[in-house]
Amino acid sequence: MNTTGPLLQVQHLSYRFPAQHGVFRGQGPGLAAVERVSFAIAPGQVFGLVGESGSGKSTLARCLLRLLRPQAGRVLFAGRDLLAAGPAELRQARRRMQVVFQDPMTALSPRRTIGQSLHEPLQQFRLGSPREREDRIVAGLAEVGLDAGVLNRYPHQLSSGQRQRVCIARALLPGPDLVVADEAVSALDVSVQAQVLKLVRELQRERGIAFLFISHDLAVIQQVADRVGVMYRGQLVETASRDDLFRQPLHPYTRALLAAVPDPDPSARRERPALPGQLSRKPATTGCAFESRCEQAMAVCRQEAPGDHPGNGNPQHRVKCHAYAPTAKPLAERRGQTRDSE
Amino acid sequence: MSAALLEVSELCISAHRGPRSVRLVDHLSFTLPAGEIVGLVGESGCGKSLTALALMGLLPRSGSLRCSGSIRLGGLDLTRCAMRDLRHMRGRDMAMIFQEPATAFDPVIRVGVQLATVLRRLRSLRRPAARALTLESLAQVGFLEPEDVYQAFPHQLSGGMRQLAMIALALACRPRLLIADEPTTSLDVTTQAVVLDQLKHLQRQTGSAILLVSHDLGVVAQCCDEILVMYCGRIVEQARCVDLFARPHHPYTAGLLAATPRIAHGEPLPVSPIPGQVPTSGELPPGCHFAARCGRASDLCSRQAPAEQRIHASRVACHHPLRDSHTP
Ligand SMILES: Nc1ncnc2c1ncn2[C@@H]1O[C@H](COP(=O)(O)OP(=O)(O)O)[C@@H](O)[C@H]1O
Ligand code: SF4
Ligand SMILES: [Mg+2]
Repeated sequence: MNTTGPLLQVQHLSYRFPAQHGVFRGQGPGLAAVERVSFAIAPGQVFGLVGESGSGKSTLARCLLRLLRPQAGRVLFAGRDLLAAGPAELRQARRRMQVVFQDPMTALSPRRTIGQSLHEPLQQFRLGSPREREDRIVAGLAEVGLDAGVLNRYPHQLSSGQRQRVCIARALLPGPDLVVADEAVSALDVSVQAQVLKLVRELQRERGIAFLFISHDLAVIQQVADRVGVMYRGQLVETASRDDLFRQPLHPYTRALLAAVPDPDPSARRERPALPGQLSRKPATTGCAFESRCEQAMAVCRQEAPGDHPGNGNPQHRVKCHAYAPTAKPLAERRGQTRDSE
Repeated sequence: MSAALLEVSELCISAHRGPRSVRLVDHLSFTLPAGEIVGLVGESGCGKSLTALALMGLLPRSGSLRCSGSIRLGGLDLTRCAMRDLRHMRGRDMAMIFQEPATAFDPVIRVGVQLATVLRRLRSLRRPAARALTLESLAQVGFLEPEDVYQAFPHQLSGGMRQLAMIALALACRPRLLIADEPTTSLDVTTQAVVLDQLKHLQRQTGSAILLVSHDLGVVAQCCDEILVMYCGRIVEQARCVDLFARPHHPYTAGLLAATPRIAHGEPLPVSPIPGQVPTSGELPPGCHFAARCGRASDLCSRQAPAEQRIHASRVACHHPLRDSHTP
């Protein structure tokens, strides 16, 4: 494995659903669900992907897992191009890149015991002798805080938190370097969600497992992620280290999203102006995807799609917004000041 | 606090499965003053929606569910009302907004026509007046193109737009009691913010009492005057909103607050999980239902259900409540 470079590198990835499906039937050449998305995940890093429903997060995940065939772009996993990989290479990559979905009830077969479900990946990848498999499964359960007592149970006999732990244990058994977790804690109650978030951090710290952690919930993302990417209508509009993003969000959409999260503190009640544009059925313009809802939109925003600019001169903080173009200094500076004076 | 509009007393709901009966809602008592937004919070399965349906008289009267206790709306006991009287009251005196507003609409009739039809019936309006009132209410909840929404079929609107259309209807009907069951749970946060703003606006405009049912502490913190916390079918704590978040008295409330992630402008604030799981309704332990997960539990807790006590303005059902002003 390439230890110096990123574990996963996604370059200009685009995916369009065929136009004849769904409600977008007959509207041009299909809907771009993922549009020229680029990002990288270092070994052992948790990359948090946040965005509202329909922004393309799951479609992106399905492209990485090659459950969908992207029309353009590259996905490099440990230096190998997954989109060009043959069956043997793909099989190898699948072992090292596991997935956990939102609903463990559909991910686990209702007619199989937990033990049977946990044997599956070991059989699939021919890992260990039958005896060793038994031991690995028990150890795997212990790692996610479950004991061997659940082995003979069926999914419906477990609580939702226990089921999600079983799914995580199953994803870990083949020894992955990367786990794609798509809304993996979204269906859990907060008291149990906090347990699973803690587990993710431990796995990352102690076993060096990298995660693509997808969630619509910014507060959850802040708990687990090292780096954060914000998606809006198929595009990655802002990417930064977690602390940079939460300390100084730059994209107007990221700011709107942060302002909209209800704070569980009644003394911090804000009569915030709600983000406009939500209540119109008008289609977006050809320029910036966020233009119709953006309070800071300039003339150029309607005409041209913004490029990827470094925010605050920080090359690790990328913002897809005209306000951060090198030529747009006045606005960027003015905004920097208003933030400082807050 | 103003006079009670709704008085719920000893409400119990049980499910009968063969010879066994399972208590789902356990001796719930609370009052809802006119002109306030009261939050009903708790994790999934704790009985929030059953309670909401019971208040609306929407629980099936035959079948496996049994309901006892009294629900008084402006002095009238709803549990003793005939079905047709309840139907008459719904919309006029009390109304409900559900999590998935799509189910509240007929998919083949235009949204505006459906709203206007309800208004004609409830407010005895003629067709043009009902249409005008519908358009006015749609504009009031923030639609920039009310005529466009009027003409749309339900599937042509987003979930948030449908939810706002329901709020527009409530605004025009002015029910005395509005029950909103997870009204923003299926919506994105930016849409949620719009819907919650409109709900607060509705409350101010009509003076209706609103029971806001939610699993999200952030949502109730932003909207409510008073909070009821439920766990396994019981109210474990009732307090003014500001007090509950500043000084939770019940260990479960404190645990929930500590487990809820909050956005920080910089490094994340720590969260701590509550150990264990919510017991399933068939296997409720005797005594306090929270005992197996509670750091303050004693022998007494697993033997005897805690009685309710007052601490300042709060009601708490716990043998060893947190008394001092402290942060969890
Ligand atoms: N099979 C499909 N055909 C057409 N459009 C689809 C299909 N699946 C998803 N979409 C659309 O693609 C966009 C991205 O969807 P998705 O990846 O599911 O987003 P997210 O995971 O953020 O909810 C949405 O607008 C969605 O409506
Ligand atoms: S009654 Fe006992 S177990 Fe229940 S919450 Fe209070 S201290 Fe904990
Ligand atoms: Mg999704």
